[in-house]
Amino acid sequence: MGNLLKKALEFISTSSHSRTVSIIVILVIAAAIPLTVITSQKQQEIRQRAADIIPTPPIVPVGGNCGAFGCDGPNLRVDWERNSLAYYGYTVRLYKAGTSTPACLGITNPCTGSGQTVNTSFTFTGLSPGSYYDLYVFVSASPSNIFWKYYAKLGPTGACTGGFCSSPPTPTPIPTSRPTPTPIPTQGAKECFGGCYGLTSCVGCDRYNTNCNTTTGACTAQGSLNKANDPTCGTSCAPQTPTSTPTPIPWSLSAPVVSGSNVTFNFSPASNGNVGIHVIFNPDTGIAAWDSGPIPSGRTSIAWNGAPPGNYSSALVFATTTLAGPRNFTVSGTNPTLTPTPRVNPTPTTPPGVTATPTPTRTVTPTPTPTPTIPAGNTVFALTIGLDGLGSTGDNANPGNSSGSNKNPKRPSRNIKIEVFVGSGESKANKSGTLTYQTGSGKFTGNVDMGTLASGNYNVKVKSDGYLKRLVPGIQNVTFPSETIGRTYNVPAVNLVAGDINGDNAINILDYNILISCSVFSTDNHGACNGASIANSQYAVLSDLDDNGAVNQFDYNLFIRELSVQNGE
Amino acid sequence: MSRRTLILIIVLIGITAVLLAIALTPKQAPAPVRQKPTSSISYAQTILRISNNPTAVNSTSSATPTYSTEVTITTGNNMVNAVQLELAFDASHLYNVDIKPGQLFQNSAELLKKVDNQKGTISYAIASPLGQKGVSGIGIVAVITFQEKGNPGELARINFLPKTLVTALGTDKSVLKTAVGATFPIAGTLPSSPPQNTGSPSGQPVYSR
Repeated sequence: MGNLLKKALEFISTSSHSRTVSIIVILVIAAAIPLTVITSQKQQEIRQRAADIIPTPPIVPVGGNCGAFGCDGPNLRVDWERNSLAYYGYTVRLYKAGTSTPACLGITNPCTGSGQTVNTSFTFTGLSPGSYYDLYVFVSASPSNIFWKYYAKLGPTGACTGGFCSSPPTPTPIPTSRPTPTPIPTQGAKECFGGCYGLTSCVGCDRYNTNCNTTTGACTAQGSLNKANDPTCGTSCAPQTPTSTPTPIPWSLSAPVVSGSNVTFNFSPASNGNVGIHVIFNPDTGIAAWDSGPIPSGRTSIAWNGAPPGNYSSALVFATTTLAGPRNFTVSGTNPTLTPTPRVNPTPTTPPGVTATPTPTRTVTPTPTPTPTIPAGNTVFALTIGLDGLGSTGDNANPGNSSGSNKNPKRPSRNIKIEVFVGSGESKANKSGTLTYQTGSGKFTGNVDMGTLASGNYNVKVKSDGYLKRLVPGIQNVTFPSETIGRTYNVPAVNLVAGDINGDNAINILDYNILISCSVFSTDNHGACNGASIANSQYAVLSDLDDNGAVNQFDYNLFIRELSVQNGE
Repeated sequence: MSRRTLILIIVLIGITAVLLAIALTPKQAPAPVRQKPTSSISYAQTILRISNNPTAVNSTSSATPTYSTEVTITTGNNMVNAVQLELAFDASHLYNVDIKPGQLFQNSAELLKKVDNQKGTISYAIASPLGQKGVSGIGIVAVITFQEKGNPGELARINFLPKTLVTALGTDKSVLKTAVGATFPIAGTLPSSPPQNTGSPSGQPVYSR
């Protein structure tokens, strides 16, 4: 061995050999550089391909209207309802928040609950009041993937502070006793499911679940399960102290003051931040005409500007409880005031998505595509459309419950197509226009030029992309008593059913397949969503049924609830 | 510097330049990995069929027997992830009709179930569990159960309606190629010759796309 080294050194030290060896070394080094570059590029390529091939696990961040709620003290109950994971089988695990320590000691059901049963409950017991817990839900089909995750805050025994949030309900400490009526804190409020969080009212109740009994403070339920006065939750909620219940307040609502299209509602005493004005049509069509939302504390009046003509009934409400009213009123003066230039004026310079504040001289709300001017003498249809899952519109399963609907849609402008027929089925007009979301009423409104449509009795159908075509109930007697106030006909408000993603005026598994492909649950790498079809460029947009910017479990659940309405009219 | 050294240096520089050029040359984008929709030429390869031979599921001497028949699927190359059955049946001969999921999808999601025993219609949709890919092959989509009324030997029918759909991964269209309904004699009596359910002149239970 030593001899070999000695000979190698002698060989290298020879002047001619050392030069050769040096060159070989340099050659090796020089070759190594690009080879290294090539190798690293190939490895990166392999990683990239692997990332493309492996479908993204269906991890859904948080939230969902699965209808879970908990109650207080050492016990925590979890309910699963239909239209949620119950379809797929699931596993539920509870951990101390931020740890991997199971917190299932003393659970009355198995620590790890699983099953497919609709309306199943799991109760975790032996927990620490006041502590935070993480509730994980796994899809049985993919047990390694967290489907939903909730944070649970347990209040002290006997206080109604439980519930689930999609984010930790603090950093600010949650009061452990009910404070006097104060404005509802925004933190965590809308994301919480059930429970009262030490407030005077339940906030963020989803479409299926809890409301707060304003008298007792008990968590009550509404919706499909009809769990009113739920024994587990109700008995755990602390009775209200007299000072914290709004019911003793002698609320009163004066007759609304109507001035043109502006309506002012006066009430007393001053708002505590939790009351609001709710307006319905008279006679009631089952669709809210306008809702003020919570009126800021201290105010004794609120105005509804730009009210369409019609007969209405108003009430002062707290959640679903009527505090004062009803008060009936009529609005008659909202037709566009004819000016020397009797045209509806678009304002193309206004940014898209801005909702207009109606004024006595109505102008068309700005939209991304400027609304064409309507020639004088043409018939105008004034439309108020509710879109399921958005604003103040519920869904097919619960038309009147909009608590789970998205109040801030990403796309405030929607197209609308209007077909007008006579009794024999002969088409008289086929027009399209744009509707704009009104944050106050939670409806989409707009005027559509119907051309020179003559007065008469018509059947009217409306359709918007992503929704089923709907026949406006009743025969529309399109007449104009006085041409001086314009030829605007107020089409009765209707709601449209969501889910017609492929635009065939039917809701079926074709739409389901597209929705799943466009969603976070896609298993075809969004193949059906982004496939070769020319007509599908809007699939991803239209699959976002609740228009919150993501296609996820909310859209899935809404689709399932809409599916029973299979065909448009 | 010797001539040999100079040649070696030039060769070295040349090799280095070639290797660097290979490394730095922008490569053509790799073929997209996205699963392409199946070819429009023959993407619809799925066949649905209702069995012509109902079997008694609880036959007691006193009770009216309940029969069941299976809706089977042959997917071809389609990776089926949902099936919507729109069926019409003879309400004059079949009653207490119900439908349940078959074994095609494990833990299937029942999206829609409407059985109208008055009108004689069934709307039934099931899908593979969320997060699971579709299935291919042959399997049982659903099982229809019913009781029979009428004179023995009279024919009862369960037909597919055109709104029947089958969806598969990677395509936004229905992949249903053919749906074959069933015609069978009621009261469990076997016909002298089994009724044909494909290609019959009447063609009533059969439709293709």
